[in-house]
Amino acid sequence: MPVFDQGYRRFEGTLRPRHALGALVWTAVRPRLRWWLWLLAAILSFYPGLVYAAITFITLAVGPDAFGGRNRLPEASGAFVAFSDNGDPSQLVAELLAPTTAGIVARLWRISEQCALAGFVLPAVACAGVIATDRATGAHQIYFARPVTRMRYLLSRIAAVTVFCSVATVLPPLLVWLETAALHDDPWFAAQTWSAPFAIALSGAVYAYFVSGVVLALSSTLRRPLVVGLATIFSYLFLQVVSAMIVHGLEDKRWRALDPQYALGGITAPLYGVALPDWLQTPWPWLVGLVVPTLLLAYVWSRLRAVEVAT
Amino acid sequence: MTSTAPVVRVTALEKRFGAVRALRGLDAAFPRGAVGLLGPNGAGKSTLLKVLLGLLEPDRGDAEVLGLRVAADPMAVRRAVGYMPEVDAYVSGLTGAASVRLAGILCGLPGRAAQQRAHEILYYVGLGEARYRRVEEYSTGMRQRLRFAQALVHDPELIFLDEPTNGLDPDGRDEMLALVDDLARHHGKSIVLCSHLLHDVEAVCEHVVVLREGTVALSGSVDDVRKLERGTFHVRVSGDEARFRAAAEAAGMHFAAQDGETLVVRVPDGAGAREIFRAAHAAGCVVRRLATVEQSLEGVFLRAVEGAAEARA
Repeated sequence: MPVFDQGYRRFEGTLRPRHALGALVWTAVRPRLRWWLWLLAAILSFYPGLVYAAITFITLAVGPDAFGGRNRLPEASGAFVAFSDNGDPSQLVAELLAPTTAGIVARLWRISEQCALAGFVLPAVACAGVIATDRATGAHQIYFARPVTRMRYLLSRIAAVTVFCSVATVLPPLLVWLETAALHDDPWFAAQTWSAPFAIALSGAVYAYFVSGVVLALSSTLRRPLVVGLATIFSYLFLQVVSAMIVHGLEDKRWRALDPQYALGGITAPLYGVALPDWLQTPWPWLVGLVVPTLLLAYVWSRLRAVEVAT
Repeated sequence: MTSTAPVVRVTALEKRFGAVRALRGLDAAFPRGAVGLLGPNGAGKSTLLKVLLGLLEPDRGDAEVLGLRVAADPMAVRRAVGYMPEVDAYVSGLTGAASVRLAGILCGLPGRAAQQRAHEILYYVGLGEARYRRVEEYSTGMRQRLRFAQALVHDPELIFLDEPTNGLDPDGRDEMLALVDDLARHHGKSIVLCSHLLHDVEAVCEHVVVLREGTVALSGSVDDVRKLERGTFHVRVSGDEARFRAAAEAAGMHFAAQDGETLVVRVPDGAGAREIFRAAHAAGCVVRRLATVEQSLEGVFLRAVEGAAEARA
């Protein structure tokens, strides 16, 4: 001995009541920033964005003849016409060849809407353990025995999920908007579409809210992060399959709202000024996209109460 | 708050979990310095700590920590005290330094100060060389020290230590107790040491509070409590033991425990071994062995525990 050869020194400053939300978010995000995650993010999130970016670049920089006419659009773009009844890519081609401001903004919505799966998979992989690991390692005792409220803790976990979800749902359309603004003939394009970044951010928040509900509910219930991640992705695909089966079985497209991609796309479309088809103009997208995650987060809240007391 | 005021004061504290009454009108005052909180499982120690940290709301009664009413501002209480949990607790993926820094920031330390304090405290608890290693790589003893460092980083006036020597080897245990002792004796920290290891409490604490079934069974300075052990004997008799017991109890003696054939007998104040011989003689027994019990906390604690068992019976 002594082990304390440096001695103990008093802290001479003053403690200040702080929210420390940033520190809580950072401790949730920092350990999850791994190189392979970025690779996954790039593959999942930027694939549609990159295709759009390339098409935008070619169309705006090279000219309308780049594709040799509207019928020779690269096949990949056909996948992006989600709400088109017959999946006809000609609508997109028309927008690209004769871009209107509204058309370009609508394209940004399509990008974010097409990234819904990536916006699910990335947080599912990265944030599966955001509560489960804290439970396993007893980290809740570090938080709740200090001036950290349940609300602050929950917000920090939602923020962590939002960070990873936004990489998939906000970054690609935002980058395409920036690219378009940089390459567009009209120098006032950015001013004309000033609301686009806000629409992107808001729609990103809607996606993040939904994903947070699912990921955090599973993470606060299941023990192993791997199981949480798989269950999250499965729940998304399950809803898609169930939705498709009901739509085909009942021949009623309104059931598409059960599919998170359609539900969230339906909620966010008005932000970009995109008109919804009749069959999606129901309360169902709101129920699936906002009410369900609210209920799930209420469940997380009650789970955290139990954890707090058990600290 | 004056320097003589208790650091913790609870008044008529009640807490129920369904039909179970974890705290039964608990009244206690923890003076400054190192206080040992003792009690068998289910005595209410953990419930009391949770109430003091504002994690549990009492059904009735009031709790004050460092002059702050817990019910009024639990966050202020948590900011003012340090808490070392009993079980393993760490944030996955962080280094030792980052973990302690985080604890400091959560308690209100500015970022740079938290960073500096984290390094200082890690050296203090003997983890200076390991501070950049990830916590997952730490041994049990190192994690124990890390939790201690996290409780200390914001320089709290009062520190709750829940079984701080659990899982430590003898050297590690001595070092941990030396740190606790150093803080209490040389740096003016008040410490509530929650432990079932009486040796630990005897080694570092000046006061002790023994809980039993949600009430205070015993409270006072360690020296005073040890004195309660005076007049306790290990006795072995030959003959009719039941008659000896009856005679002894008629003379005001109590039987605290029995270890095989050895009885633990406590004689009334002012009495001594002579009364034991008299009782044996009256019962027609012969005293084969008589030894005074060494004055330790253990006997007192055991009596408190047995008192609970008897009350249950």
